Amino acid sequence: MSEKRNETTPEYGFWMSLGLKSAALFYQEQNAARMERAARVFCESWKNRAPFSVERGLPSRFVDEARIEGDCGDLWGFWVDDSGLIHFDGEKFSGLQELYRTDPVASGILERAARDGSVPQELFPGRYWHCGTHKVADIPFLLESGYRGYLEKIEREERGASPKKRSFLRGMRDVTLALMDYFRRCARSFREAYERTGDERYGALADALFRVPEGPCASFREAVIVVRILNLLCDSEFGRIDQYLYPYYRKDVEQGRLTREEAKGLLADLCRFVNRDGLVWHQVVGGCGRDGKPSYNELTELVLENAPLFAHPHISLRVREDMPKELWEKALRTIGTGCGNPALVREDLFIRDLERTYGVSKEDARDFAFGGCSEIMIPGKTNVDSTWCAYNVLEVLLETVYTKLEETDSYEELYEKFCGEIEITVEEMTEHINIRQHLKGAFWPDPLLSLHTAGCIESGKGFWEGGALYNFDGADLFGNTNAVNALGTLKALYAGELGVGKERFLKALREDFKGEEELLHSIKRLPKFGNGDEELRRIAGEFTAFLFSCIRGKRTWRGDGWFVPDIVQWITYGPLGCKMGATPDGRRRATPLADSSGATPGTDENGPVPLLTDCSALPHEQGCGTLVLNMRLAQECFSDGLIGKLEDLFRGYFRMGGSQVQVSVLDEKTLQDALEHPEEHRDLIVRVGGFTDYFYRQTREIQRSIVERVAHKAE
Amino acid sequence: METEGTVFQIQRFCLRDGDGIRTSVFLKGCPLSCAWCHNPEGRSGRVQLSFLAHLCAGCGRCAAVCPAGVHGFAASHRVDYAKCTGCGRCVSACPRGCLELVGKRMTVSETVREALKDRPFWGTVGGVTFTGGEPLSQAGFVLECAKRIREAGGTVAVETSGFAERRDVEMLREVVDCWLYDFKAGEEEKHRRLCGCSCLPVRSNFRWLCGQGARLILRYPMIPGVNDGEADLDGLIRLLSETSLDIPVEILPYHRMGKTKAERIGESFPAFLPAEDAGRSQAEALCQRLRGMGVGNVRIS
Repeated sequence: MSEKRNETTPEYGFWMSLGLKSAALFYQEQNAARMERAARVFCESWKNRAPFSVERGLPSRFVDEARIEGDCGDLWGFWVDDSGLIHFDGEKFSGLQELYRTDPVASGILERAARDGSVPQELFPGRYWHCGTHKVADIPFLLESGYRGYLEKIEREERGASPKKRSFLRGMRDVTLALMDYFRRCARSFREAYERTGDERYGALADALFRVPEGPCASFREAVIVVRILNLLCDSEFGRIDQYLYPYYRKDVEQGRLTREEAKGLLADLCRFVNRDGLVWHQVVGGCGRDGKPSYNELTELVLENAPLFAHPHISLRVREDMPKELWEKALRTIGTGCGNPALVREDLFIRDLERTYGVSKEDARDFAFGGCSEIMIPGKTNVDSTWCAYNVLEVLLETVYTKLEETDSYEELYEKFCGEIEITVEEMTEHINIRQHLKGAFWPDPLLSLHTAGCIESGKGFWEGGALYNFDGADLFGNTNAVNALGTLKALYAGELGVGKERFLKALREDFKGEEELLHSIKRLPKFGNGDEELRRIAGEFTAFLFSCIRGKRTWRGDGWFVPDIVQWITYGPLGCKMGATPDGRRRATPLADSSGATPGTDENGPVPLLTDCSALPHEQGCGTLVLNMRLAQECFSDGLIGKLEDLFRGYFRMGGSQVQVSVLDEKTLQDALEHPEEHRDLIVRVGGFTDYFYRQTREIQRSIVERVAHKAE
Repeated sequence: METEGTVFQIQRFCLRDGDGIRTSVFLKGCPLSCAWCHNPEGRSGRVQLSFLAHLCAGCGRCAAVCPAGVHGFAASHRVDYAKCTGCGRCVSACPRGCLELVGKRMTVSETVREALKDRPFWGTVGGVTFTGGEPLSQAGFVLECAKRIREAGGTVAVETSGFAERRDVEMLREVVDCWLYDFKAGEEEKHRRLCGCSCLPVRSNFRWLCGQGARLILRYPMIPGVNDGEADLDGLIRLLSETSLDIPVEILPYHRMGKTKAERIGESFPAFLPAEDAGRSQAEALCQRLRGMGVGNVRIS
């Protein structure tokens, strides 16, 4: 600890007498900044913490287990964790307050603590709900400078700093020293274990941990260990792993200390626990360096080679016009194994939007990466908080239809009203999210994330307070494709093409189209987004641009940052759809929404070309949050003779303005489902030379033989 | 008046109909009547009614709007194709999409406009493949479309039986980058029996195109036990030996999807055709035989 702890304050004594040790440390010095107080708890809980285990079953994140020994927090319902977060059980705590009812000083202390504890850390404001966040720690900094580098940085920032900032920095220093101490203890423990058992794993780890993460890395193996440490400490994802690991790889290989295969194995090890625990994590490879020049290297290839082994983490490949053909082929072959990776990303659109709209520096913009399901971030420097907002576009439209359809005389009028409701609800969402941000910023110091994210030490503000260099809030938009298709239906309704009036239409919606099978069929046969209908494409482009513009103007409380629109769905499109009734696009009650910015699954019946053409009309230049497009290709497209054509397909999409695509390969499971429900797989086209037809239009006998043929890979 | 053609399908993202990603324009009408035809709706030049019996729910709405008595509902839905005038009323009336009119008159502009929607995906080698049916039967229409496609930077392929007037082949010579040329049977008598016409014009046009140095790929639909006998292979070798050009041979393994399409338009698939699709191993065996006979440049589509 940087200063001798003052154990004389009455607050400290009171809490310690009750055995509430974490509270004692937290309230010891009332004048200290929250970060400094959180750091005391952190240091105490990590002081005697046992070294992490190398046996199987190593948890993916071990911070959660840190508690202060002998803390009676559970007894009285009040304890502080090493993030500085208060855990409060009002019922238990009131028992404590009852005990000290007659002691005014003690009552005062308890009352103040109760107010702190009863602040809801997570607000769930109805419609727009919280999920989690994705982050990438400042990995390069720790690789290059180690924790000693943080100590130097803290010392520099202390000069001429305000008292508040100095208090904050004291906390940061305490945490850094506690971590250094912890890893030294780990090193000693592993050295002893090695001497006892002769197990090389302990020996290698001990050697490394005596050097890192306290100091800079000198080898690829040490660098991989540091990456793993950051995974464990802060849930840090991998960021641009082929970029920051490359210098270590190159040096070791040149000096004969490491082979390509060994490096590949180490990279696979990094992925193993992510896959085992099903973590929705991300790693990015390829693209340009901070200098703007292409930066594809052997590690880019190795990550791709490992891809088929793991369902997680997700991989994005940053594509440039000058990306080498060999890499195109490698990426396409990897996709062709059916592993779903890599997603292909047109990097220049992202770089431009980040720089132009979000105030990101040129070099930082070039360094962009993704977390989770493709939330944009500058790795090591960003708080992206990507899954707070879940905005259901379709629900807003449905509400508009129920409340405004009867009083509007034209489609144009209804569309205008709908846009008005979008404006209101977007503003409401940002207000709710900002309240939550404010609360979280005030009550959650989070020393680990603050230490490991660039900007916090410099600004003297914690990660949740806006200390990070860049603060975004990804506004996840759901049901956009459904809404576009629904607008198509409404247009047809007003034009009299559906053969029903408004009242009957509304009734059909309310009653999930029961008794209105014919109406439902008419709706289903209207053009659907992804099939190349020009009018629907125009509607999609115009509406989505408007939706994005509503969001892009909004600033976050945190760090005066930016709300960033994105269509990143994860699995949320399922539960959101399950809570909704039937909708004008022909979607039935309690069924999932569309799963990406592309077509509602199974409705893109004209194949990938019109799908990509339609999606290119979406405002990708304003959607760097990301506009995820899921598409499906048949296995046969990846055969030797045909795989080269896929490069033309995706280059075409990118040239037309598309920004991202993730490809899944038609697998046996989907084909079996297509056999059961051919109508839901109208996108299945049978592709044989010189032939034209759809799967769903074949007789069952033929369908079965097609499925069998593909399943047995006879093609 | 702009030139028109009868088109029955425009299929996008075709990977097996020439170089790169292609847009295939299927032209209606063909002088042949190959037993195994997998696009039987392409044989007649007329607009035809297509009915998917397995989707029908028997609601009877089609019968209610039909002016010609085409649709009957005795035990099940029976279609009297001969009476159909192509008015299309039943198509819009059907709530399940069971009915369709196959074939549409389209102008050159309309056709080219549709095809060019895919231009961004053609890259440097992709473009349009005219197929069908028999594109050479509408050679004038194909010519004008092809010119405009090439102006826009796309390549042009034609998939043909080769059964056409020489002048139609000559007309298209300059605008076709690649000829996907069918080989159906090795002997004249067999060709007449199975395809309904002589193979002499086919061979003659083949020779002429080779003499012109045109780029050809020979497409051999393999129907096991029907056109893959010794005499057929000998016929193929003879054809190839008539030119010094190295013509790649592409085997198209037999499949029965043409059967369901035939039934949809009220026709039937000949009973003598194999009951099973050709497997990959059968196609590979044929490749081996051909290689053994000196045809080195052979692959499976």
